[in-house]
Amino acid sequence: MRNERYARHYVLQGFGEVGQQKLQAARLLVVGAGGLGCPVLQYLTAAGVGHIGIIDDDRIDLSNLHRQVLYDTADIGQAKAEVAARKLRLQNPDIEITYWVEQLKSTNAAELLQSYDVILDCTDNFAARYLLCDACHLLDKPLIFGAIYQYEGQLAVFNVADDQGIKTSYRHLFPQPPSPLEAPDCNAAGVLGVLPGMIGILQATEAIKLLTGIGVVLMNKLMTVNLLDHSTFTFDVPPATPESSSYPQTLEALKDFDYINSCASAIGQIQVITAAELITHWHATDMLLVDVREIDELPRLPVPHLSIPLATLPVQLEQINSARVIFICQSGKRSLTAAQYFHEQVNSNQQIFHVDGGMMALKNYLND
Amino acid sequence: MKVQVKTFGALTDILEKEFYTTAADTEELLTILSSQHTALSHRKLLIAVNNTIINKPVVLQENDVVALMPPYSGG
Repeated sequence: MRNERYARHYVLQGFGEVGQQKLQAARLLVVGAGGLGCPVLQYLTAAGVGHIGIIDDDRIDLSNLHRQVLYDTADIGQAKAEVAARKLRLQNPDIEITYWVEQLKSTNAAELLQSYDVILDCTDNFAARYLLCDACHLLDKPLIFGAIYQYEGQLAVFNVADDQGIKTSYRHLFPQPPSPLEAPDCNAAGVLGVLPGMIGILQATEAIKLLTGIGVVLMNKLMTVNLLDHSTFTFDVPPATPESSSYPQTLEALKDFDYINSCASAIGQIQVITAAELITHWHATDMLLVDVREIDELPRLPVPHLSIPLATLPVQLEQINSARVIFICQSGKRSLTAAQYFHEQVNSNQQIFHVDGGMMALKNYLND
Repeated sequence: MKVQVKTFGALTDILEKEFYTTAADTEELLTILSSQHTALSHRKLLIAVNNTIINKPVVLQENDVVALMPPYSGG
């Protein structure tokens, strides 16, 4: 039956009633109803995707509203998934919307994703992204990925075979999660409000193309967009299989996999100490103090220590052979990097510390 | 080999957005850049040579374009 709502799709060459019927028959899950999720949901609702699922456990905050255009000031404090579902039902009462005010977890992922044809990754953290990557890979579900940083966006379509049968996933781009320090989120790094709108609409576009079979889907490619200089790049993603030992290979293993800690493990294993604690520790016989600043940086450490500038750490790991090791630098930034690197590279029972605030904090403490 | 390097995301805080440098292969390129910019060492990066992502070191040819990109988490 023709619905006047979709009249411009019916007359669109290459799309027509057939394309609209394919959208109507589709079940699509949007994970994350934030910056990317809002435009994805609004456009796919408008387009008439028959069933849309929304999962998000977050609540609307005033600082979301400059980019999460589905929400009003009066919605602050309410659950995003619930408010989104309410507004989308008004926007298009002809489609079915299901929502969960829940976090996607390794324990519920397979069950939630199972009944959907296409999943959209609109999340804002690596734990969720790697979980979705692995779950969709194991369930063989198409995953439409979008991610943003300040003025730049990344877009890709995973687990969709090209004409040679090749499929790739997020682990083909980034086999292992970075430390949270390497990739700050929108809260820490800021984001231009229109950016998620643009990347989200590209995700929605890929979803429509995938569901209806029009055009060329962005499978086995990574597209980047920079709003500041309007540059876009499209990279080919190689089909080589990523190292399989460090992520779940079955749905059962997925349930037991701790994505939260695997995405923060580099920090989780490192103990942060204050300048005051450093002073109580630094004469311990089993403790080695390692200064990762450049050789000529001042002030000098007033106690015996090893000087290993951060850049040379990879070739001097063997020198760090004490039961406990404390990394220090000028401000605490390089020492954390060094501690993380050491933790990743050296598989031992050594206890690893880094001094928060570094030499500056120590200097202030000694002056007080 | 003289190659062009393009950087993305938070890497532009550490390196120029575009610059030319000399390196025999991608591994040497990263070693050189990491030694000049300690903040770069051991970061999780995607490397692409002439718009194809690589997953093992690649020998560089004159005028190759090497892209260095971190993962973005925002959404």
